[in-house]
Amino acid sequence: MKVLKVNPVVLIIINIIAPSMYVFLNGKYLQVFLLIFAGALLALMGRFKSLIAMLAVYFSMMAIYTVTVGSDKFKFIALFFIVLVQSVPCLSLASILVRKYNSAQLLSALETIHIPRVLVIAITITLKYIPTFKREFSYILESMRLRGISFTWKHPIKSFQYFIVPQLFRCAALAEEVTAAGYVKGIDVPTKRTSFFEEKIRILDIAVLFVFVIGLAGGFLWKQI
Amino acid sequence: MKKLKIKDVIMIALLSALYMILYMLSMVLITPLGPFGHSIGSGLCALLTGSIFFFISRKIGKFGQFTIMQAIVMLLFGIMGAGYLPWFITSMIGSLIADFIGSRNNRTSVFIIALASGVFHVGQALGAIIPSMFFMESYRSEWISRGQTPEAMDEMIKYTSGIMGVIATIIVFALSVAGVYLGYAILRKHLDKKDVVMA
Repeated sequence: MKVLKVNPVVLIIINIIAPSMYVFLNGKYLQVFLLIFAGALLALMGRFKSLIAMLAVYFSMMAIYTVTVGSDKFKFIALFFIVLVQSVPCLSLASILVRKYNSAQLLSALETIHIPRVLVIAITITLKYIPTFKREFSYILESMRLRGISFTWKHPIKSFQYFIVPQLFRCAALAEEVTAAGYVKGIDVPTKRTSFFEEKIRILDIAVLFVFVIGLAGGFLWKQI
Repeated sequence: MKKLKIKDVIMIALLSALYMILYMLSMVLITPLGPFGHSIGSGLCALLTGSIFFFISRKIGKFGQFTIMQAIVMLLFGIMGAGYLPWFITSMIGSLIADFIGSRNNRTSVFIIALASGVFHVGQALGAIIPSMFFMESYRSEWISRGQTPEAMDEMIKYTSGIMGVIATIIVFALSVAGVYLGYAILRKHLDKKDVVMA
């Protein structure tokens, strides 16, 4: 089965517009619509693992909310999850940006929306670095284990230091490496960048956006009724 | 005033990723404090990320460093579906003022960096405080629409408006200042002597 290929910019636009619609639309409607829309998009893109993960996280959070909302003692958990749960569909779409597209595709797509190149580079790097954090943390833990050091709640500042210092200097070293790699690829050239991955907005992307807008328009009608 | 180079932007981007992770961690840690915790959430984040501020100021120290960092954080929250326009506006204004205060060079004193961090994070905190003080009804109805209960929103507004709003702002500022001094205490022996001499 042929899977749907969506321009990353379309996913970014959807994720930026969707939460701001809570001002205008019924919250319950928007939450359910976004869940169905994101679910359908993930299925069409062949991201079935992400779809299952999204539904599992969503319904687990709703279950925790239902269990804790009635208790005065644990109500804070319910209120935390009910705000968090609304981001689950958008987070699932954002996770595709990180996992499915490589840096070159993201750069190429983001450059089509004419935001400053500096910001395009920065966002792409941040997006790609966040998922590697777990691996970086495991390196720190491994180094600490070799030195016979461990995290302890008895010395929170010292433990925090063991975590933050290597991370900061790792970022500095990585910045050198990424900059060198970027210069080799002409990142500082002021002319328009070309790419092997030409991420143009196609009819399918417009169709996805159209369905999204129709869904939002439905929300306005729902509110009127 | 020196301009940011590509290398500086890349370092800011990488440190912003670390900032985002600590931000999310602080949001989880502050949850047991309920609505009051939410109102000072950016203060706890500032306490954990003060070392990032100190590091950026020492390794980069150029105008725009805090604004770019805030813009990345806000855009990423937007992409993750957690964007909120008043929060974006106050945060960007705060970061711009922070740049004017603490981004002259890489030898700015710790006290000035602490002030800049305070303004940066107060900007984030005001994203909840200003709407609840001046646009209470629309603020309340938007978050009820987002799933909060009316009682929880009333509680939240109680901690972010009037005198409690002012107290929350002061707490956020104080935690931000403490965060940078904590960062200084942690990093001073790891940075070159010339980097910490102005402290």
